[in-house]
Amino acid sequence: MFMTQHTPYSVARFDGAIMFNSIRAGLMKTGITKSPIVFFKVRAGAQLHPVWALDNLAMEIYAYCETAKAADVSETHLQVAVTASWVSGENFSNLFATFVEWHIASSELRKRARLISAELINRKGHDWPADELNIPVATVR
Amino acid sequence: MKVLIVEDDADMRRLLKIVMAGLDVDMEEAPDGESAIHSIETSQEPDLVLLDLHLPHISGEEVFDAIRKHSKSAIVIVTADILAAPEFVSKADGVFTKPFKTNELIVKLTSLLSTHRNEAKEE
Repeated sequence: MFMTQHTPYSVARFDGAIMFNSIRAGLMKTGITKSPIVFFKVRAGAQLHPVWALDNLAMEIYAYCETAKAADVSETHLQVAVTASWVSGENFSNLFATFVEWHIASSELRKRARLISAELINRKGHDWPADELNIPVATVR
Repeated sequence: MKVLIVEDDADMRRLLKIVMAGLDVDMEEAPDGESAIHSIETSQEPDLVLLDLHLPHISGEEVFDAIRKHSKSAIVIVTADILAAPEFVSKADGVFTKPFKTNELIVKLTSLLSTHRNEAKEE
């Protein structure tokens, strides 16, 4: 009997602090449409992981980062557990977050971030940055 | 998670299956609109549908409307019909014209499936 074997894409899980001042937000071309995208860094001990996120999760992360900036909290305030998928090409490897669990102490910050996130997702009251951002692998032909 | 691939071209179905296989989902194939609608109406609702617009017998547009009527599935259009594609930009969850960049498709599908998965966890 002929069997096709498939290899699932790799998944990464890591803890750390989102360096909220490092966040960049914009739009990535996905097909003929554009999707909200963010690029940010997660500090994990001596390491700094570069991570991307798309669509609703991008807006959620952006909302938390903007709220943290406004609240003037410490650089490592946004403690998170991240689940991410690898999307790679011949010369590049990118981590795409698929789930973020927030471990922040301030309930006020959490409440404010959730509100902004919901407003962004429902396209109410907040503008999304229009800068074009593309993962490096997407530009390789 | 389940994905329904609605595509009449067997080679394209094979390519989409290879892309989807890495996302660790159950896949069902429909080579025409009739079997796609039958699947939507009678079996487990897919989390995501990859839909070609040019299908035999029943058009992709009709299949699109039927899916929207019967399910909450995310729909991503994958089509060679560049002229018809822009009509779906505001209606579909993603629109890709052939040829497309595989990594752009993988990123978008990963995002849509994780959104569905996270919403299911919250419910």
